[in-house]
Amino acid sequence: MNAEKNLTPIPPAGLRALSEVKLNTHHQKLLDFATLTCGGAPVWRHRKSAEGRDLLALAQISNRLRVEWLDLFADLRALVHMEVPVPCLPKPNGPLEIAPLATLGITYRQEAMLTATPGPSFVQILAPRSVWHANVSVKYGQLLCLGSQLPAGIPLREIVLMTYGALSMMTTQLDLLDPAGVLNPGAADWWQRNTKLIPLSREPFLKTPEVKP
Amino acid sequence: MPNQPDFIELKSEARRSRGKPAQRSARLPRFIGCSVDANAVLSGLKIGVVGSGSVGGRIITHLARLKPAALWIADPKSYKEESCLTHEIEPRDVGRSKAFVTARRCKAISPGTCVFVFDGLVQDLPMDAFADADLVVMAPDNLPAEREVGQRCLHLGKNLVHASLHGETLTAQIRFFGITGEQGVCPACLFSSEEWSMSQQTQFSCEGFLDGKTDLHLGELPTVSVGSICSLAADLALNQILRFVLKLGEPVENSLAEYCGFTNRIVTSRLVQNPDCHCEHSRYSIASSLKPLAASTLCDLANAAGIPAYSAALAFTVDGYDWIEAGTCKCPEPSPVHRFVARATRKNLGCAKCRAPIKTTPFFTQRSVAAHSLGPALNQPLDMLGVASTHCVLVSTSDNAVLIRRPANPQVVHAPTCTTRATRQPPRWQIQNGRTPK
Repeated sequence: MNAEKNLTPIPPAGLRALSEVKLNTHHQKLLDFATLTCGGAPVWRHRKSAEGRDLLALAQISNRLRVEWLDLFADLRALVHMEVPVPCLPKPNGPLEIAPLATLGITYRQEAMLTATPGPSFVQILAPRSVWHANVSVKYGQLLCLGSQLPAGIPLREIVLMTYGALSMMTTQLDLLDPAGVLNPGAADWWQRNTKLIPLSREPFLKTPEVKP
Repeated sequence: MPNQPDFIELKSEARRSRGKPAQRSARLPRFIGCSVDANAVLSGLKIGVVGSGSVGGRIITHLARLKPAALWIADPKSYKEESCLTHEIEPRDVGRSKAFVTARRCKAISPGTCVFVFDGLVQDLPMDAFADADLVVMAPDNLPAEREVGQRCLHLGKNLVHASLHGETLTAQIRFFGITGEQGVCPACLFSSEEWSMSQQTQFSCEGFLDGKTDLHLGELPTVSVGSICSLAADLALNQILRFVLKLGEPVENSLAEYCGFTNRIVTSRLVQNPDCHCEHSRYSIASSLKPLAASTLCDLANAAGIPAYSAALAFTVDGYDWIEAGTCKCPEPSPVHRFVARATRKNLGCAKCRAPIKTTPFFTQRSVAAHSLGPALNQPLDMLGVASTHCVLVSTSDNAVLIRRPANPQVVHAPTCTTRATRQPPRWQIQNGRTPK
């Protein structure tokens, strides 16, 4: 993801301590600019600032995520690029292609802070096109379903990790008889018949030196 | 205002009663300690009512008998067979719109009152729907509506009366939210965490997503009570309203009055603002545009609002429209759109490159747009950005917000002003029937 070696170590306490990660200049500028236009009630503003900061810290330590922009004005919105294998079927009867990178539009709404929220309401896959995945909708702009309902107050970092797991198919829902999570029945049926290809990757989200191939 | 939800004014039907309409003063008592001209105050009273069910319907009828200047009535529901058990209706009203039936009854009781009715969700009303009201009353049966009405009253600076009941304990409860005060309290200040969760509850399955239908349940709580408690709640609400507008007795702002039928006691207590309330306790300043809003640029509107057009925290919300940053078409990258699209119609746009329709996507669709992301659109007239017509535009920063309304009468020039009881703007409905509420 980053051409240069990632110099920010992972906090000893893990992802729970993302708030302790010191942001570099670039990420700090992103956060400062987003905070200028942060709107809403005080509780919601604080939550957005904290989640935005954690997202930038996660990008800084993971070496797999790049935040292109962050918007805290109404909902929390972030355009991110994630290094993750994404299954695509550009031609309906053609071969499956695996794209190495995904461009994601992540939205974190105020409702998610207070109540259980439907799974497709967080992540939209902006690129690549023609994603061939059981949990990615075709009709509504490639929304990724992370489950029928996600718990109230789920942290944004969990959304990112779940997204990585879903796209790399380390976790997936293929059961056509259980409509929760299946947004592309054709893809679900195809993957049921091609389970030997699952998962697309076994790499953990955080690229630590010990587990590098 | 094509395709945009709004109140419509109910015209008078042919009078069926004989003789002249009764005058209010024939039965209006001389309230002890009343320091205002009660007849004059009631003649100029304008009240918005959300919910015209078993409690709200009775409140509206009481208000109509006071012969106020104007009533706005909003309710999305229709009467069911069970409604005959608690509502003041006849079986022939089953299946009819609650808002319209109640509105017609009001108009029949008080032909001189301007009655405006909306048969839909309060969430769909324009941002300035209650800007001309002196007071808002609500008796909804769902928490999202309570939260929405409370938030609108906070923004518009309107006091709010909430009538509710608990049938099992024969309890009627009236909460008077003194929103205009310094320590304004709103309904959401009193929400528990469970109530907050219910107030934003949506329910839809991925299966529903597949066929394009989302099944939205908005935390509805059906009213289970006997009719007498419903009418008691309505009567108590009227009492509080009268005390407020006629300044009778102790102030009622930020108070809770609760009657329990088991003990026959009324308990009153204070309402206190919650510093951690999830609603925005911020007031809009209100101004009128000197020309049609669609002919104005966002930069003009920012200047009219007294906010620097290139302020980092500046944002715009065009009522009834979403700002579309980009969409998907046959092009490999998201196609920039940078236009407003009417929420009601969702008109499709075409890509200039691939000529395919551009589908809007949730991620690039925003109700409010920050000025810094508008680029040259900041200096383009709104009609060139896709806005055919709109009720109002909200110009806001992190600590200031101005709601700019469309002109009441294009031929009449109004200076921008904040709404107060003394400097009330003539409502837009004046144009429709040529009459001015007395």
